Amino acid sequence: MKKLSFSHKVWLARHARRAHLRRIVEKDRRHERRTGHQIKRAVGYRDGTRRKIWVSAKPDPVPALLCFDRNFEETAAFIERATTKLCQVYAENRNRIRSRRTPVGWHDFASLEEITPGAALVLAAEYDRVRMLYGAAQMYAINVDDWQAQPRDLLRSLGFFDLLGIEAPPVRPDEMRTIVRFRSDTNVNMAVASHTLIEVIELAASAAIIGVGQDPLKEFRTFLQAIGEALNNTSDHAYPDNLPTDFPNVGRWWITGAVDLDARRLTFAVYDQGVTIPRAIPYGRRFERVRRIVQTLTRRGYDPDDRSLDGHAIAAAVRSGVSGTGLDHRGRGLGLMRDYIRNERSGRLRIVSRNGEFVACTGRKDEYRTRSVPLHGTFVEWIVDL
Amino acid sequence: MSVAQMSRDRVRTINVASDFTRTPGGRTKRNGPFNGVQFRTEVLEPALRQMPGEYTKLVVNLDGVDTYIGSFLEESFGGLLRGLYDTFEEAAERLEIRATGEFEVFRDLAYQYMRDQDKRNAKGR
Repeated sequence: MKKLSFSHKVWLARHARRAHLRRIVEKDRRHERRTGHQIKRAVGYRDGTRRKIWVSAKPDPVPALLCFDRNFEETAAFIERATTKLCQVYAENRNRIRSRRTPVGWHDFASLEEITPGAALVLAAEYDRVRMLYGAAQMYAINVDDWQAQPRDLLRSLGFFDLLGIEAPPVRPDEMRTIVRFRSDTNVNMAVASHTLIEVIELAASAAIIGVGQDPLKEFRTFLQAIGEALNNTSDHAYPDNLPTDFPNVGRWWITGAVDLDARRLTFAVYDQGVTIPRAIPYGRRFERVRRIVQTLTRRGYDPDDRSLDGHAIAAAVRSGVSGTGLDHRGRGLGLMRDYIRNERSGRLRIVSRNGEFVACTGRKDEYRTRSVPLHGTFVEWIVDL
Repeated sequence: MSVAQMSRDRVRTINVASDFTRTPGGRTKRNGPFNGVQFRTEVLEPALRQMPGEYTKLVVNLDGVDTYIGSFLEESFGGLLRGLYDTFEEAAERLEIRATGEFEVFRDLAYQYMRDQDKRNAKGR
């Protein structure tokens, strides 16, 4: 074999990188012609490491605002698409993910400008479900440095990056924590609920919004009771043996709390991925009463499979639990959740389940509506004034 | 004063927070630990069965917990009238529920659940 001259070696060293890049570009063009997907390089985090990886440049679009109050339709639609894609892709690739170069099931959160605590909880719960079902340790958080500050900080405090098992972005010096880490369990674990609420109260106290004595729960005991009722409902009704859920479930609920420092409000959210309230109603003890209330509201027969009545069904379920005990302002279950807003503290309660939404505000008439996009679970959120 | 008379005045107190848990849960084992069935069968009913030998009145103090949910109270106290006792009067003769401050609402709720079960028992009699 002829020995390479010195000048030839210099030329190879200078042009090798260029030739390598040309080969990569040509390979990507062949991939694009074959699949229609454009490949681009991105910074990814996996298992605490940071590397440049190739990703499909067609991620699912993320709305600029993820909020069930101000942007319900887009938020619910995104959650549904994300859940469908995550469950489908990870189930299909469970055994092949380690060998794949291209990460699967990723969303470009750089376009997300604002996310509320409730929407963040639902998003984290969906990723957590996939992690538990399929051991999805291969999830990437793509180009986290390009994410906007508010969603990145909120998701970090929530524990979103921790559940993906990746290194979280560093905390900014001027950042103020406003949300507590999410927690999850399978049954009525009041110790977890209590601990979470105390953490939120202490967040508010550290920002000098409220004062707390030796017992931080003293002014919030009934609120904790309302939260407990939500967990109890999940435990009793969300995952029945005889009803399948729309997606594979892990039988859990997720909770978190947050403080709005400017508006001086406390938010607490509970989310489960169960069969939803409208589907569970026919199997509950108060079905007849709920059915009568729905018929009164709609002036027609009640069909639990008719999604256009989901809003009415949730409203009826709330009303059926309003005066069960006969005591003043002491409802049961959903009724008690609403009574807290009515009688104890001003604020708002939102219940979203399948295509139904129920909102109760202090000083205003209850509202209920049916949405075009379903939520595949039940989401309960209190926003109370401090 | 005779021994029998002294025994008539003896009261035993159960504090839920210190004798059971500070975080009572749901109704049954399916709802997780520290549930109403557990409290009733492992704490309340054994204590009530020891009457009137060792004491004549059982007081349950509800103070000091983080909160109660309705299912726990209903199973714990309403459940007494589904097994151990037939009427509210029979239970109230032996059991007193006490609470102070913000816990009084839970006391009222527990008694209401007992009265509700008493009404259901009366319909069945």
